[in-house]
Amino acid sequence: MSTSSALPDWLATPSAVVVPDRHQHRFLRRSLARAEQLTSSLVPDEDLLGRWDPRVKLVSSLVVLVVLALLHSPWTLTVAAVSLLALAAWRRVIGSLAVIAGPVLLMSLVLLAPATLSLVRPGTVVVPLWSGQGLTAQGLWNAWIVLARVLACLAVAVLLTRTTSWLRLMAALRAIGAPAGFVLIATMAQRYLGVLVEAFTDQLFARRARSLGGATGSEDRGFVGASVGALFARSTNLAEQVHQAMTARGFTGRLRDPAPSPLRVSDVLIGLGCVLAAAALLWGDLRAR
Amino acid sequence: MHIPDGYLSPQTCAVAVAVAVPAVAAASAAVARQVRGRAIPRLAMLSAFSFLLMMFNLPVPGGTTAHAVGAVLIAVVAGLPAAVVATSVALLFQALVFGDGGVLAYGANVVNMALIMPLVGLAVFRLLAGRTGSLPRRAFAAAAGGYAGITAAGLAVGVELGIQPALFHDAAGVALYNPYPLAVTVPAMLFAHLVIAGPAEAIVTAAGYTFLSRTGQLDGSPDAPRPSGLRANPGLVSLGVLAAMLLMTPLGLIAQGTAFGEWGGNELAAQLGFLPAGFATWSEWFTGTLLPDYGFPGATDPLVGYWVSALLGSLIVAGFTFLVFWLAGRVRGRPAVPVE
Repeated sequence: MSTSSALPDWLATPSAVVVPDRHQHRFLRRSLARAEQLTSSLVPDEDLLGRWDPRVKLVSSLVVLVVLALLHSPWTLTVAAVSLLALAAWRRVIGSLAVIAGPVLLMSLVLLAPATLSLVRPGTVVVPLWSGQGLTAQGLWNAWIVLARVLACLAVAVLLTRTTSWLRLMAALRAIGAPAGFVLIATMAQRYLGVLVEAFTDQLFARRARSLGGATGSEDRGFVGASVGALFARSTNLAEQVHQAMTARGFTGRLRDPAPSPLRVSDVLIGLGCVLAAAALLWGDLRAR
Repeated sequence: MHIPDGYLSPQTCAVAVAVAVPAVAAASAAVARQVRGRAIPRLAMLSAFSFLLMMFNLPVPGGTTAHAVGAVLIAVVAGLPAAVVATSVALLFQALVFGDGGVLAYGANVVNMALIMPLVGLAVFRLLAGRTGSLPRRAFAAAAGGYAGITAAGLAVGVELGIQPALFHDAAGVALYNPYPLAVTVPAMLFAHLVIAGPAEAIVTAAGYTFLSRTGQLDGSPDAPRPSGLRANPGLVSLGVLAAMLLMTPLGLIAQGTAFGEWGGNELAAQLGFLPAGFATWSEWFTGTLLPDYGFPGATDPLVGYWVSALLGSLIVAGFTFLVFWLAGRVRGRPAVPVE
């Protein structure tokens, strides 16, 4: 019996196979990056601000957010934004703030840039560019106001959420009057989000592992549709299992709030300090108008 | 689509919260009636699912990627109240964890994505799907529902942003919040949603629905969509109508001139050169209107009269809508929300 090491003709001859327009999975990379960001965000660092009563922290944050929305002067908004940035840096959440605020500010900049041109929004031209057109004072002030306000509001949100666990935040939300059912749903959703994120990333990794050389757009869209359906089916099955476990442990459908812990004087004083600082900003803004 | 803090005035945010809170409360109660003790874990899972769905980056034709919201898919598969609650919780996550959407603007985002979107999407789905069991037709209806739902939500965002410069600016004319008027925001939002976000939502809704149907996830389930069994919740529908009308109200402030066919006698005479005899006789026949010319005696500012008229008119229409849906439920001899 003779064997030949030569390749068969059909394998040796280069074939002119029509390859569809395949591309790398950019959407997979983006989805996985967001999933990793989510996983790292689920557990906040509780430090000095974390020990502050979450109810007072939540109410103070809402007061500060409302005051920020009421400020009209770019100067007071800048003072507020810089102060909040300093606070974020001091509490070591500036990295989280940069991750969150970066894309939002970039998008805001892109959206607001055309409004600074006299061609789009007529106004007093302060930076001439071409044939009488240029950047307007009104447009630049408006861009400054919006950007400073967006940054300050994001800093407040990051300071609140990165220094408070989700459970304590939801308890605070309940304490200020949010419906019990809504708060319980949000609390449970956060707990089981980790399980679903794992299933989600498994799907994406499996897809990436099984598709060397990329895929066509229609194949990718089909995968996303099927993955969404599979994720939905998994979430409903998990809900049924969780309900059975809850029933086994005595859940009857009645929602009971835990007894609220008493407020400490120091918490109230810090909260009052925040409110006073916000009031001072508002007073300064009214004087600056 | 997610409006961050800083683009809307606190007044706009307050109105949006006033619409969103009762809607979410009514939806929570409706789901609790539908699935009783299972409501809590089911809604928690759907919320987590909704949140994750917004993380799926979908390649859309043209080389770019977009993410779907999924509110219409949840509404079609699990019902409108479930979609309202699940999407609201997912938006809370997004606002607090990712900074997608503001904390003050949370109410506006809920109105857009958790209320208007599933309401419009489900209405379109039911209109097109009818009572047929044909999967291709139902999948097409789901796609159309997703497309219409997200486009309606995009339109609402455009209106909310577009009214800001007209209503909130300082003495020098500097816009205090979003600087673009309705003439810019509405076309911009509509274009983005008709071309990019709409197809993404349509693909996800149709593909997800098809997958669930083919794998038997929709058959035999106690919460399977039953075209003849599900009924619109009168409270939710009327709240949706109220929200839509309140959002559209500021459009009247920028409208120029008189609407076609609503001319007064002087305007008609100026256009035609004469006043028709019948018009002269009948135009003054009834003068006992409550708010003539969208104003009332004693109102010095025409804007106040316009807003009062708009609020009153919106409440009347929403009340009438509630009555019609409530009566329809009674005539059919079934409760407005199916109880198991």
